[in-house]
Amino acid sequence: MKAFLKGLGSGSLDVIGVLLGILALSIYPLFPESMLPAASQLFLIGIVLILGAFAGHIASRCALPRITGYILIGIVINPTLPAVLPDLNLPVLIELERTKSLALINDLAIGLIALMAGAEIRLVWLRARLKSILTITLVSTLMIPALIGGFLLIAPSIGIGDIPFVKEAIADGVPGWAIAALVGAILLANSPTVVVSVLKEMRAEGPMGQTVMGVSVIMDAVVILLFTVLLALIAVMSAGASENAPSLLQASGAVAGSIIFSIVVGGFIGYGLKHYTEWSDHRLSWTLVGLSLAAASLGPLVHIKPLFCLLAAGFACENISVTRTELGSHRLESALNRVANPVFVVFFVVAGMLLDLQALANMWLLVLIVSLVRLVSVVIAVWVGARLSKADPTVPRYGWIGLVSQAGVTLALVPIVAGSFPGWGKSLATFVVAMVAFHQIVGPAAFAWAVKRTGEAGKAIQTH
Amino acid sequence: MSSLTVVAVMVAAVTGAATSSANQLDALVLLLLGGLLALGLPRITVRGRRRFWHGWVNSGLLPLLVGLAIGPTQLGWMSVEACQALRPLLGLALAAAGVLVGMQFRLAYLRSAGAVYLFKQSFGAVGQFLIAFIPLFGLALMILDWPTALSGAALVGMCAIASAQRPPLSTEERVPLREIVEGHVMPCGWWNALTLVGGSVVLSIGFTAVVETEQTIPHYVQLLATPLVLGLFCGWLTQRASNKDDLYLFLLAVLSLSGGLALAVDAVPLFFGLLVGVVLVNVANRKSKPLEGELEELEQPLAVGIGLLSGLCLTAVQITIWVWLLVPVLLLSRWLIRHRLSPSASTIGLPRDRRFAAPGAAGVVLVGCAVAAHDPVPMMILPLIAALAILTLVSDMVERRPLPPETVSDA
Repeated sequence: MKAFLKGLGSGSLDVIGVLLGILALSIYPLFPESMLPAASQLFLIGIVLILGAFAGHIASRCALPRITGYILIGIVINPTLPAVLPDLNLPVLIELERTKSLALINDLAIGLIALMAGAEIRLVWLRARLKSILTITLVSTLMIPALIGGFLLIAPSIGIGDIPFVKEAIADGVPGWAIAALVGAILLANSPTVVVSVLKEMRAEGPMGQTVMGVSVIMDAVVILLFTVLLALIAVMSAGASENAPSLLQASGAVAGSIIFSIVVGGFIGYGLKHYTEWSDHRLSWTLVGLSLAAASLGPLVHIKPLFCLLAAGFACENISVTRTELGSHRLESALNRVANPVFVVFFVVAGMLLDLQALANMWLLVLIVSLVRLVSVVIAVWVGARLSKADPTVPRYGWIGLVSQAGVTLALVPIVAGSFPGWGKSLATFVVAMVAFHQIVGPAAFAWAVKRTGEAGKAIQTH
Repeated sequence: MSSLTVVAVMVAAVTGAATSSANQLDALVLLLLGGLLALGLPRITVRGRRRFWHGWVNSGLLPLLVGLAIGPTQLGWMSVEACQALRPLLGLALAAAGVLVGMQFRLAYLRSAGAVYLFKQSFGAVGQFLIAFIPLFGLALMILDWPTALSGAALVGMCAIASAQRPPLSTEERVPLREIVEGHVMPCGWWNALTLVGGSVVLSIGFTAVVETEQTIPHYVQLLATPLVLGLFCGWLTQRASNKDDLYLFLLAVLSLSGGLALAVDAVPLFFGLLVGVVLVNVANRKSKPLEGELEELEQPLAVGIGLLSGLCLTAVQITIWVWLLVPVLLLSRWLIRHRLSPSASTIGLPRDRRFAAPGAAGVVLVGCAVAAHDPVPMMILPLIAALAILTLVSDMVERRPLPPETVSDA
């Protein structure tokens, strides 16, 4: 707290920068509707960058990770904030529709972060930590959905009251255990994006960070697979599902096939990238951005999942060949670091802007209770998994904190639920978005604190 | 982080927008173009390439023609929606080009060049401008009202000044580098700066006079005050930047704001970028040096990008037959007098090289500025592109002719 207040006091010029940015943003609604979309889009990107940069400065002065600053400033200019705080008569600085144009940068950010995460994973430490990573993932996959789902089912009988979407789903003919398992699977997801960006920002390296990164990445694949199977299962059993809901076997086969195909393609890309970076670093940043975009835009057309494809590419680039030199690794890392800064700023400010604060305000008590249950589940799962695998002592003590954040995959699942089950699916989607909002606010700061506590911060070799 | 990355991120952001809103063919075409751009860029520095045939030389003409060919106006391989989604990127690229040019107007540099030198070069450029402007203005007055005729002729006149900075092939290994820089690169750079300043002023002020809009703040005040404030803001931001990453983050922000605000007040982003660059370089003198170096690295990618995007973002318009007259007027006004009014010193190249010199990237950048301008500018774009293409093609052919025997023996 002392560091926080001291940082806030010493960063008065940064605060002025933020205020100037907000002042500039206040003229945004004056832009006529008829104006070129290009003008308003460029203006918005400029403002987001300035606000994000200053907010990041303030956060780092307050001993918080920069991404917390980015997310918080996104919340300050969030279009749903005035509705949440009606007494303050806050103006709506940006309309929701206009903010959505910026969400498109997500594809790029996720691609680059996947590349970064893949390139960070080295066979040397993966071999040493694979047992821990797989055990924690397995225990979490079994335990977290079971605990959360169990809680949702027994909630009415312990006096918490009916959970709206569970009640609606059961009324629609969905078995209680199925909807509970689906919610559990969605809440199992965490955010490799936050993990990688916090570790990068803090230049952290060590057993806790590496284990958490490995778990969070593998968990994403598990969640997608589990979610698809459960969704198809519910669709088969539920009368309220829309017609285009896929069959169980078809859906799970398609997802598993798509993930494997993405990894294979990523392997080939990584092999090419390895040769490129060994040969030259000329325009490497361009190439990486192009690669991320290609995966994001072309991937869905050929059933490639960009996240897994680029993760495999980064991993293959660094690990597939014994002739990989340090110079090549350095080139790749430098190029990724160069691209990361503006992408992270826009990505996380926009993430803050797009959080549904209204949903969070409407169901804050339920969110708080379920978050608490999720937290306890994660703590237990990580502790059990780490003990079983004899992981480094820092992992059971602090590793669970890295798995608190939620974003990317969770948000990607929301429209699928809402679209597949128009009734209770929408109610569940609102709840999940509120959960993400809550976890996104507390997760990065908590993980940064954990990284500092383990002493892993600043241990990575500085190549940038 | 390099400024190249800054642009790469913006390319990504905006192309992401384009691909997301486009159909599958659009996505594939965009990918193809992006791949070509990314893979071809390392070849930019190859010397001695023909300007017309080689896409990666500095002029950006081939990308312009490629964009034009596959864009919605010609073959239609890309949808109008996808191309319109690329407009922010064009705005950003023009703003970046403007800042790059504006940063050359460092008072210390201008002082070291000397008033006599600058006056002499400017006099030559004005002469060249008038030779194209006067006949065109006369012709345009017959079919247009005088403000539009004045602006249209001025725009073409500015294109007449544009001069490629790459020295003629005949100078290779014959003229010392220092002589080439002083006798060709520097004066051509000054002529190009005048072209871009003049062209962007004409496009920002000239044609908007035709559009009747009620504004609370006068248009010219918006045009001047906004970029000046932005420039000062950018100067303050660069002073605040604690490291290189922050510096380029702020630069990217200011470029975005310049592009957005310029389009919002009906100006060309190049004009705003120019003023921002001038203010920045003279306010935050020391801190702007790294920016300048990084932006210079962007010169070629920007020319290529602006060319490609201009071709793609062009909208189909009906062209009056009389507008095509600007092609012969522009060609003749350059070829008739260029050997006397050339920016290059007499020691640079052969007389034929100076007479048929290519217009280079500045012409393409002006075309890029014209893409988003008001009527009747869009009508002038195709004839302008035709004129630029002919000038470049002829320049290449002339340069490739064998050297006269006496020149070879001299060498």
